[in-house]
Amino acid sequence: MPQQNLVYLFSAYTIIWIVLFGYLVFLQGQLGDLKSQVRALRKRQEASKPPVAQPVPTERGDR
Amino acid sequence: MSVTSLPRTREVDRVAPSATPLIDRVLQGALLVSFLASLYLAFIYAPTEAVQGDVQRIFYFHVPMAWLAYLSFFVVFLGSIVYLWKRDQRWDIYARCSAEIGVLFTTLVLITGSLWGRPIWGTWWTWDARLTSTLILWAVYVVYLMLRSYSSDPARGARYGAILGIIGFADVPIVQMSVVWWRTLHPAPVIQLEGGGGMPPQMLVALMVSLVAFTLLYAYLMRQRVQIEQLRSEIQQLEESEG
Repeated sequence: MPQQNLVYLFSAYTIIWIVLFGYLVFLQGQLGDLKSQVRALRKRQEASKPPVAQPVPTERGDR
Repeated sequence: MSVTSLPRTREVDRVAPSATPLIDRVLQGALLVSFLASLYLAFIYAPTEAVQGDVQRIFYFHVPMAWLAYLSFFVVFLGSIVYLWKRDQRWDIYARCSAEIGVLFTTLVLITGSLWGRPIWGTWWTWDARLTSTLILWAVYVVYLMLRSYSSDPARGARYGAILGIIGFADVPIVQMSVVWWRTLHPAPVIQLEGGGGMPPQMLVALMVSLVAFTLLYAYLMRQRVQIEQLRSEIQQLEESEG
């Protein structure tokens, strides 16, 4: 088999790895962005919550 | 981009970027080991094919990717049926995520097939039954993804997508049987239940390990992709609760 055919083998495997790694990096990037968005939204909601009222002691005295 | 509600999972509940769930870490380890093994088996262990030479080694990734495309579109088919039956958004999400992965692998199958065909058949492409039916399969699911992306009404998009996902799957058995039903340049199935496939055992081992590696990759990609949809759903819920 002529050695020049190795270029097809090399090209096929290179394309496979580039596409697969590219897709994995794309997914990881999206996951990272979405996670930070969720964190930011949660923080904002926590900050905007009114402070929790403390229980007021009654005349009988709460123990 | 349509956003659908999904039940929150534990991973989504504790959105910590550094905390990779155990199952993902196990999958990553298994992927690394299985892909290293499949590369070793494909390039060193398996013998060189007598007629085609080294270029035949494309086969060890080309065939598993075709298997993965079939599996992905089967999940689309199954997810679409269950979605239409139960109207449970989770199944629509599974179908949509699987269609994306299926299109990715069908694209790679077409490219690697073309790179294999050039030195062996002397052409990059021929309108042979196997190649044409695979191209149609790819086009059907590209349309499916476009329909899902451009649909202004997510519920209607999911419904039409499910119908297309079910009908489109009819092409999978045609692709598989095309080499039997018609005279094609493409070789016949290499793994046959009866009479063997005439493949040396070393080649069969390399193919099987590669099949396992790609199936694990599918599981990993699906987990990642579904998690993205869960996070989108979470963001939508949080934004709605903010008013």
